[in-house]
Amino acid sequence: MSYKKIIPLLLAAILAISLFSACGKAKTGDGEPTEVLVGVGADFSPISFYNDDKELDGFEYELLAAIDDRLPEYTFTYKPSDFTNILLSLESGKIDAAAHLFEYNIERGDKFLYGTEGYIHFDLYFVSKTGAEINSFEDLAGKKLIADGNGSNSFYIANKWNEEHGKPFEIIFEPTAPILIEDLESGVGDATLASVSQYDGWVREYNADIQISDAVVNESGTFILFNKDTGAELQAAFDKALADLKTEGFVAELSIKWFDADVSVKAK
Amino acid sequence: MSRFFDWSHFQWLFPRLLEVVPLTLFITLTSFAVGFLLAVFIALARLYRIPVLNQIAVVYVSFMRGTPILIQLFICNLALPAVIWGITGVNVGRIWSPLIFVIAAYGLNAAAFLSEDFRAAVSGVDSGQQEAALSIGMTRFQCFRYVIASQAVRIAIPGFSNSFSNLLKDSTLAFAAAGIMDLMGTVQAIGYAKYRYLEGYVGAAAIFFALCIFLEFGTHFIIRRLSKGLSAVK
Repeated sequence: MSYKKIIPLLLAAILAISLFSACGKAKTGDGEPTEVLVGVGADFSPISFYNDDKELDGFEYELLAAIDDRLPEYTFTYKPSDFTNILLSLESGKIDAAAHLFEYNIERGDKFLYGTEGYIHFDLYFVSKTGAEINSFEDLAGKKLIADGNGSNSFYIANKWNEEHGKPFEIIFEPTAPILIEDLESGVGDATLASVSQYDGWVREYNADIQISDAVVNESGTFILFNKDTGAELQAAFDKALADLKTEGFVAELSIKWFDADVSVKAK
Repeated sequence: MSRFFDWSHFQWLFPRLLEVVPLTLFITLTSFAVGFLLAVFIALARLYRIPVLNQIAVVYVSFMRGTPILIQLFICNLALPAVIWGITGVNVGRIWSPLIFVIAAYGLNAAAFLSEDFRAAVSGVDSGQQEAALSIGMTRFQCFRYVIASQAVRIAIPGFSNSFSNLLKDSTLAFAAAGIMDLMGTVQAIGYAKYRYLEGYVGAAAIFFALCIFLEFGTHFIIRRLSKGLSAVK
């Protein structure tokens, strides 16, 4: 078998493959629903995660599925991923919508198109060993705040406040929850920012000797994000469906199912 | 129940980790294949000092070996689709699985390391062999095909095996860079969902260790076979 015979064969194969892939771009008919790629969490329990049967599950996932049911003109395909990757994918046009309990902050507001309907009231509290001593960023002066990463909104808020006030406290990082709890108990760090459901999970799963502050550090709704340039139409459709689901009490029901409490909110 | 390690959770988790081993192996094997093909070209360009290509190869190898694989993964996963989008007008980031970009990144990375293994192996064959082959009238291609390559393969095997095991372990970054639910992605996802992490890491370590031991035995076996009649060379 000579090489001279193989090369034209290879070339023909490559040509055939490229022709086939060109055919794949066939246009969708008018009656067909448009595919919407939705970036969701893969490891964010109980919001969006793989359950024991290795299927996507969680509060946000069920909410999106309900939105999908309301929008016959669209069909959703989910792209589960980790937190940072979802926003990067939305920015680079790999997905059309992103959901991961995204709170609002200015930086994200510049880059992405926010839905106007919030669906969870996401309050952040200080969690510390005693709970009583740290109720505000001022109380943290000379102390250490533990952050679980630098992409989250809790880090954004803490870091922004700290920089604007001459860095009175230090931010240290500990992405692994059980170690973060250990650090709070042993005094390696003095406080961290968390939601009530996160705090409840830590106490329940790790029997953690920690307390949550009375005062709320930050209040925000959580929103679905869209592409800034191309997402306007999709955003309007999502908002409409989400608003209906809220008035019908579906979001509240879902919230009670997953969080044992109604944490849904009205429009921003 | 210990905060860090719970035996019953480990027993529940381990079979789930085994289920995704094929995906991790798929990523590693396809990346290795892609890398291997590229490496042959890179190594030949360097060995035969083909003008321009040689210089490009030098820079390429030095860049790939001098930058962290995690950054290469991020670049491939974010910039590569954008570049293809720019050139062809098709937003492949939407259509193609992120696996393709991850395999591209690992393949490009492995190519740099494998090409050096190749080059070292070919250079490791005594130059007298080439001279002898040419002196009996073989063409350069025949000389490479029948005399050099067959000897170089034996020298190259340990290097390839080393690169393969590195690639296997580097595959753990696919979740962090592109959200692939491979072995490490599963460890991470279950870790968050169940509030337990160490069990997953220990399970993944056991699996990787077992795979690498298997690879090591395989390499020994191949080297023994190829070294038949060469008792001095181990």
